[in-house]
Amino acid sequence: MSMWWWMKARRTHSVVLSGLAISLLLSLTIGSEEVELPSLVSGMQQAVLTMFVPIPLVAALMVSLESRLPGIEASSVRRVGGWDALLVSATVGFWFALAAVSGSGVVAASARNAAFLAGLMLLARPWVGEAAVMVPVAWTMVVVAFNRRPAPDPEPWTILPEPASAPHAALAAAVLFGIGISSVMFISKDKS
Amino acid sequence: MKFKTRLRSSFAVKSSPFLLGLVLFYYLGDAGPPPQNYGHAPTVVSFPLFYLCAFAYAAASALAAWESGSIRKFGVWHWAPQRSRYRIAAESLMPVVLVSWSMLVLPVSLALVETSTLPTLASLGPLFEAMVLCVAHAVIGFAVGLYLPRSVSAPVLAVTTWIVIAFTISLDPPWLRQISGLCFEYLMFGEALTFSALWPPILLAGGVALAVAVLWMKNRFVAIPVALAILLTGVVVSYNEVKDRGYFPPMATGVTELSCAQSPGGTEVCMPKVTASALPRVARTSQSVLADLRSAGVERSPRLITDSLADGRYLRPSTDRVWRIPLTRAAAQNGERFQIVIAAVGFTCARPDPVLRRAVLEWVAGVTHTEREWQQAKARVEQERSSADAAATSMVQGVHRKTKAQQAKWFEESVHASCRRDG
Repeated sequence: MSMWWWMKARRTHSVVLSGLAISLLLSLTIGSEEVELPSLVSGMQQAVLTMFVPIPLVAALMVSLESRLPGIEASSVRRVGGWDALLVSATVGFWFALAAVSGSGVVAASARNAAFLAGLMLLARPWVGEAAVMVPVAWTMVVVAFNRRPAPDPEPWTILPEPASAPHAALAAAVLFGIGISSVMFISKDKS
Repeated sequence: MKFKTRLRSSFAVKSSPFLLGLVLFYYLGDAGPPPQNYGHAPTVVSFPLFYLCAFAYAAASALAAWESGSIRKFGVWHWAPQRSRYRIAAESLMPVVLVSWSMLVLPVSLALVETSTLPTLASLGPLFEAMVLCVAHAVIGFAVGLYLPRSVSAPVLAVTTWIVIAFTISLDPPWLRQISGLCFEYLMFGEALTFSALWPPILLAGGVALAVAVLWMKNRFVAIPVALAILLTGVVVSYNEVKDRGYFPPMATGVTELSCAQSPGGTEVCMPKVTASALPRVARTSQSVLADLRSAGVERSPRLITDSLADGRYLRPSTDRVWRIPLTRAAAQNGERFQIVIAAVGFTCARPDPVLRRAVLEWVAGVTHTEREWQQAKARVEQERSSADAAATSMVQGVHRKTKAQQAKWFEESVHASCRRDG
């Protein structure tokens, strides 16, 4: 029974679903486009929009995780960390499923980026609270500023502009997502 | 809340180490003063702004959205009817505006110090424009943050403001970049943006900002029509101003101090003060060229020989009386004599008959003792032609390996790109 108050408190229906819908729509429509942005080294850099399309989703996940019933959740009777982790995994998992169904490399790359950025955000959350939602944005800015090579073959540390087939980017996304998810499960400090 | 307390607790100030750090790294990378700026203040000021202004607007709108999201979250906006909403907004936007301003002022000051350039009023125009736009974007961000949770509005505004404004550099029609608030990248020597380059972006973003701010009035019946009128005026007037523009914003040229030398024949020779170290030599050379011509029976008596460096990108043709020559560039390679000779010939059209042109130049080179320079100039043209041929051949070989659709795309893009720099 207690799952219902959790779903309502997290606003899963309205917030997470709309965040996911917007991100998916963006990745399906404009995900493969490139934009030219001022960059540190080469003057201008072609940045693929797959880097940015997960932002609405990670923002929605943060809103959802921050909508809570502090009193009930503080009592250790109900453990919501597992459900939170499930919510995040299911959302990102749905994106991967869509990528598999559509067979599109662009959707797969943006799903991987969603996992990477969500992991990064959840990792920062125990320290900075809700402001962790800006960490994915900061990462995209750092990538555009410092990456010295254009999109099909960017510098390895950047992760986001890598094509879906890059094994190290997939690994990095999996590891960060894993750490992020475990921090949701085990660190339930209410910091805001 | 006291000002200091407000600053310390503000999210904007807490994120400033990251933002200013990124600005600093940009500055140390590409966004430092461009090479060959000759200490021209408009160039030195505008170059870092191009890299950083979209970024500062993004920071302003995102941080403002975060502030107003917090205000909404803690009920200040709706539960404090006795306090002026404008006062609340102004107080919470103060740190946001200060942080975004420092993202602009820091790199500009560094560039001015590094090149030991004194800023002029004209050179600071783009900086003031960008600072006003920071305020406008902060107000817009604040308004968005009142309606959306801050975890959504802040990251989404940061990314969209940044991408949309920075992206206008590669969009056609070109007026988009003239109205978006993206700072113009590269002013050449002698150029400075005029006021008409600066106000359309301010009117557009400022109009939107003012319109949303009017909506905070408690009297909705007045607020909505007034806001609509302001919004519409801003959009229409700014669009009308920029809609016919090319890639370059309106700019003044010759914005620099000249040093001039009067020579006995009544000809004045002028070069920009900052590059005038060669002026005495150039003045002597022009006198000697005119004397050589006179003894060959050719009379040329210009009133003024001036450096076309100060004309920026819009080179103006020479006339009988006023010769515009790239004196600084030529003097740097000790090539001013031949440049003055070419100006003295004074062809009256852009593309003279090739045979006559060569014959005329060969004769005049003999008269003025510049045969060596004339041979070098011919060799250079030959060299450029053959290396352009080689580059084109290898480029086309690469293109032939692409698919049919890619080749067609390359063709259209190249046709466009080959004239893009002409403005």
